[in-house]
Amino acid sequence: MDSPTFWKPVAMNTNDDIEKQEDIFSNSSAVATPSASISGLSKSNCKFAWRDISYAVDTPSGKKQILQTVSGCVEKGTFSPLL
Amino acid sequence: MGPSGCGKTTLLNIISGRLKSSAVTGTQLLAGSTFDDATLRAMSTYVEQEDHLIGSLTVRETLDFAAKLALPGNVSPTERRVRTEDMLRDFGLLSVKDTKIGTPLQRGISGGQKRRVTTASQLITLPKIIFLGAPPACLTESR
Repeated sequence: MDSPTFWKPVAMNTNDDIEKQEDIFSNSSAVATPSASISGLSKSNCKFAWRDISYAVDTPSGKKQILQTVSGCVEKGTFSPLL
Repeated sequence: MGPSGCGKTTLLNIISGRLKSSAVTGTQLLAGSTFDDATLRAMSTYVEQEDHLIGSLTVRETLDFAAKLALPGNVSPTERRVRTEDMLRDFGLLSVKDTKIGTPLQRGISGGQKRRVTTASQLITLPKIIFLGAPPACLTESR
């Protein structure tokens, strides 16, 4: 069997929309100085972040909280699992 | 690893934009800025936990079909073929490229290979962000 190689993304030069999105990643002015604080996600070097995500559903026995103020982030070029 | 039912998939569905509800609160940021659904949709893909493949197609046909569906119209057939071959090579599927996916009545590729075909089908557009419901072993093992 062939040995799988790790997938390496390359710039897509055939889709204008995707190319515009590339600018988001390469625009350093949109990223403030690094910070290790989760509460300061918007000022960290995280490329994709979520902050205080909560989710509740109504059940016959009342409201059930599925997620409560969950925060996290992933950085460019990393493989990050949800644990 | 969080226990089954603790909300990992729910969180993944929310941050990937698949779960939309007024009951969801919070903020998401891309490079420090908020963004709309179209932006995230254009630059990301979601690989589901289950494989939904057509058993009568070969591995190569599956990836080519996915490429035709997902790639923009201005991508030439030649580039599409190159992209398909790259995916076959990168995911270690060259040896089974002409093997059918298979059905319960017709033996095809293995479960692990199906997982890789599913993932390769979603990555054929080279998205910037990949949400993996269940990563294939070839992406998680140490190398």
